Amino acid sequence: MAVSGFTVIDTDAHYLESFQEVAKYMEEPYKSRLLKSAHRLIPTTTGDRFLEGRIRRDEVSYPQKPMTPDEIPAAQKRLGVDVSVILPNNLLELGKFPIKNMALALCQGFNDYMLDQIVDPKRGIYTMVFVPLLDPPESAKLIDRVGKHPGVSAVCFISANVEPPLGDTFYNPVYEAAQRNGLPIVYHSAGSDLHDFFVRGFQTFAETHSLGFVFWNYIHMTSVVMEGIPERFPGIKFAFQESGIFWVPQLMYRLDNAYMKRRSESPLLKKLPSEYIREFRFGTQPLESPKNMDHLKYAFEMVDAENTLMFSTDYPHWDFDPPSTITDLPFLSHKAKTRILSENAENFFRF
Amino acid sequence: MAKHRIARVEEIPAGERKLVEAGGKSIGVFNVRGEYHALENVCCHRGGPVCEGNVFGRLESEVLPDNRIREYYATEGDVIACPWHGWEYEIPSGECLADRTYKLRKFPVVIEEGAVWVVV
Repeated sequence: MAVSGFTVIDTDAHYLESFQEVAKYMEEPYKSRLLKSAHRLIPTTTGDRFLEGRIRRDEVSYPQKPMTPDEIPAAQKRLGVDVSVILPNNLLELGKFPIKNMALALCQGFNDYMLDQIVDPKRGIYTMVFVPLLDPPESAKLIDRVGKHPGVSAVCFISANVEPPLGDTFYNPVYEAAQRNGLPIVYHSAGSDLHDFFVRGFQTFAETHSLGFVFWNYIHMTSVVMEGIPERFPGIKFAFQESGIFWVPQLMYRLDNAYMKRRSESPLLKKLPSEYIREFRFGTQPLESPKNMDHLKYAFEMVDAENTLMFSTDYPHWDFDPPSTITDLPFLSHKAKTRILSENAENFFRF
Repeated sequence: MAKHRIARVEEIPAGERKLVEAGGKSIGVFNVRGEYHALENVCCHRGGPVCEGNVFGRLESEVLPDNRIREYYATEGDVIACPWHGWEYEIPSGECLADRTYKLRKFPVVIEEGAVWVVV
């Protein structure tokens, strides 16, 4: 155990892979297109994630250059993490990508690369199946092809910029494939354009980053609940990553309010939206830290934290949380910390 | 508890209702397919005049074998929607369709001497 007294499972960590390496797992013409286009244009950004050197990650190559696979166990050791679920960093903008065949080729390449080079279940290093949501039938084939690999712990919907929202019947083949393969689904949010936001004109990264992550989670969780995904696919477990936890009670009670008035629009639902939401799981990072700890305590109570939260670092990103984010909380019992740090993840992911 | 004469039975035919004051309460008396039901005219949500609302069936939906969704009316004429915010209630039980822990207050109905009586 990497942290004294606790096994720690990091349900959302990242790895900055080399496009050159991933391209080896892709067919032509997509391979050449990737190599010729990656990192060629100026970024459309509201600011440097690492604040011109104010934030540093001396122990890994990120963000200056791609990481190497041996940096993952080193990072786990430094953080005090026993098991990691890793999302390849460069895929986070997948939802922005408009070309179906290329999106499929990228997902094929990234999945095969991760499974060949990165995952190592014996050392607690897992990944997920990343799917091109533009093309649900091909996404389903991809899940069927790699879903049984022991390094795969879930299906991941990289959810930023994905339209229509993810409760739509358009995605039926993808949900069917996840259910068929016994895999949970992780909705991984991102900033609207990672740096930017769908409302133009914000001047700082803090503004666009704060809004982007939570908005895409709002958008997709609203759709997933109100379109009855848990009723349509009762065999699937669902988790939402990367927006802290305060957004969850707001949406629970906001949707309940609307549902009470407009039940006839959502007749598939058999209970209140908040009751479905309490069956979901939520990554903890970036956990809010109000000065008045009672406020956080009540938010934990509202989301049934002991049963719903799964610790995540988001390492090595600029706003990562170490395990002490949870172990230091004065209002949580040892049992609740154990559940949040590892047991809820063990029950959710396929390890 | 007192028994109040509300109407002659033919005054409230199937599918109709009558709003009355009885025992200091505003009450809606509904005839759903020959059965009479008396509900207090106060919505559980914000106290709106629920018994003045429009009557619908109970909308349901099912997941088809190909995972598409079909919506349909499972019943006819036994659901009332509060005109203030749309909260829907099943008239025979008084229960809110979205959350059956919310119930409109119900009063016993008696048919005697060709009249509808409500016990308040």
